[in-house]
Amino acid sequence: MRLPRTTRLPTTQVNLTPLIDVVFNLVIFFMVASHFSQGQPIEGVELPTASRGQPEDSPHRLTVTVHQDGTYFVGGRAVTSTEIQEMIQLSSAANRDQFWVRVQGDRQAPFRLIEPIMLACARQGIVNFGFDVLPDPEARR
Amino acid sequence: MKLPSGLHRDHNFGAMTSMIDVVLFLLMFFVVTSGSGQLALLLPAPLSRAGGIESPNAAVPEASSKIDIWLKMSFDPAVQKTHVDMNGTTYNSIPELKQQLRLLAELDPDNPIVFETAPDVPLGDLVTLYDTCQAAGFQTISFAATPPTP
Repeated sequence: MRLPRTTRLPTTQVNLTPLIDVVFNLVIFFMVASHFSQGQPIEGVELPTASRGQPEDSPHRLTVTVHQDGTYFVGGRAVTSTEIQEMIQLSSAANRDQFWVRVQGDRQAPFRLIEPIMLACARQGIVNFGFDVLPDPEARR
Repeated sequence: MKLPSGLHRDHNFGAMTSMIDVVLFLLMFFVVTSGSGQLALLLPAPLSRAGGIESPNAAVPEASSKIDIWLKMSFDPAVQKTHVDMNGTTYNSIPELKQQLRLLAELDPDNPIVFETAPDVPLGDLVTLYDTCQAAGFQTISFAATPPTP
């Protein structure tokens, strides 16, 4: 008796699990990378709180991080006060009225570290100046 | 006699390990996207524009009933505290001064506020007072600057 030959159809099953793993890995990588690419080393800076803070996302801005120990950072790079003044001068030349200077300063940073930035803005005729703050928890109550 | 089925189907949809991987990745994803910290906001502190308009005719000063409110901030390193002198009255407590500023703003919010801040004053105290002035409704808030040495 002739038995029927076993026909094994070729299975083209794709295991989706590793694919999903990779996709999620990529998503997490890009999210974390974009988070850090905003460039401001906020570590070690405790922002002051305020009730009148508002979201602002002007494309023309210079954010200066001021640490308590007197170090300045712009775009993740340590800079000097003179370099900041030069940056303000160069950056504001094109579009002064739309240009923002934001100070991301530690709440314990003395005013002597902030004043040169404010004076540089005033010399360049920059009006748009502000402090990075966290929402005041007392104001929410 | 039972003949073997000619078609073998694989119903194995994946091991548990991979599923746990995915669940963990989902968990990490939502932890990251939910944001570990608060979003920083901007407290605008508009600066006055430098320079002025030159004219051969002297400007006639307007009669004004406005009173400049000077907030002279100083820092005492011995007690690590900021003191504020408002037009001659010294306040050692920021909450007390905040209350006073709110009362003054209710009387006339058009009175200009001028901050004269000592170099040692912490930024946090300055921002707190600046924020209080804005919240109270004062329309003109400015910073005094030390004139440049020739």
